[in-house]
Amino acid sequence: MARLDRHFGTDASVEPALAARIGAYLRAHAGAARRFGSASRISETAWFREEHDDVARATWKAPAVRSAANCSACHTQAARGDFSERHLTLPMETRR
Amino acid sequence: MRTELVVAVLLAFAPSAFAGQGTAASYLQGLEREAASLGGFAGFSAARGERFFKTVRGDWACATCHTKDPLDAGQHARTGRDIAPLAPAANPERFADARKTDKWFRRNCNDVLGRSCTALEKGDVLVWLMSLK
Repeated sequence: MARLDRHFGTDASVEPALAARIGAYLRAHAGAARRFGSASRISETAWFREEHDDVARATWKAPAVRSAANCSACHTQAARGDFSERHLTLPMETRR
Repeated sequence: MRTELVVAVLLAFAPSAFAGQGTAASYLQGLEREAASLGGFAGFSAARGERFFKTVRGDWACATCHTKDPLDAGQHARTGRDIAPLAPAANPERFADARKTDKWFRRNCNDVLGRSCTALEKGDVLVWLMSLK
């Protein structure tokens, strides 16, 4: 949270008051390192990899997806924090 | 037409009712005041703004993610995330929320230029974006 202006190569900074609130939430709800590991990217945690182990390499590379940071490419309600399978739509190769 | 006239008159006399919600035009006015206070200001230029928007510095230009035609949707150069069109004609929300606009100018000018954009640079770009139909 202290380095949001250098967030994986881009500036993701927020106003200090919001940064404090997000930081407090993260500290209060952090999972155990034992289970989730200490990878700095969510997409590099064992948990994420298990959840997505049936996603083909080709899907990650599809123009509509391109990266594991692009959650809403498949998780259509990601912006609302809803990652349930109910709202999952895998992109077609021809989209975009 | 009559209804629009009535609304326009009411808006002119009741700005405080809309304090939370600005417009691209009001954001531009703020930039104009800021640029004018620095001296030597001769007005914004859409042509200059378009050049600024499309100039690649280091890895990126504004256009890298927002595309060369900001009426179109864009895509983040690294994550692939969709970006809604930047031109207000294609996306009326753009530049209407001053705090949100400030935040994204701060982030993205840092990404592209490695520094803040000046009021002149922002105003030039906004004048160009507002000219797109």
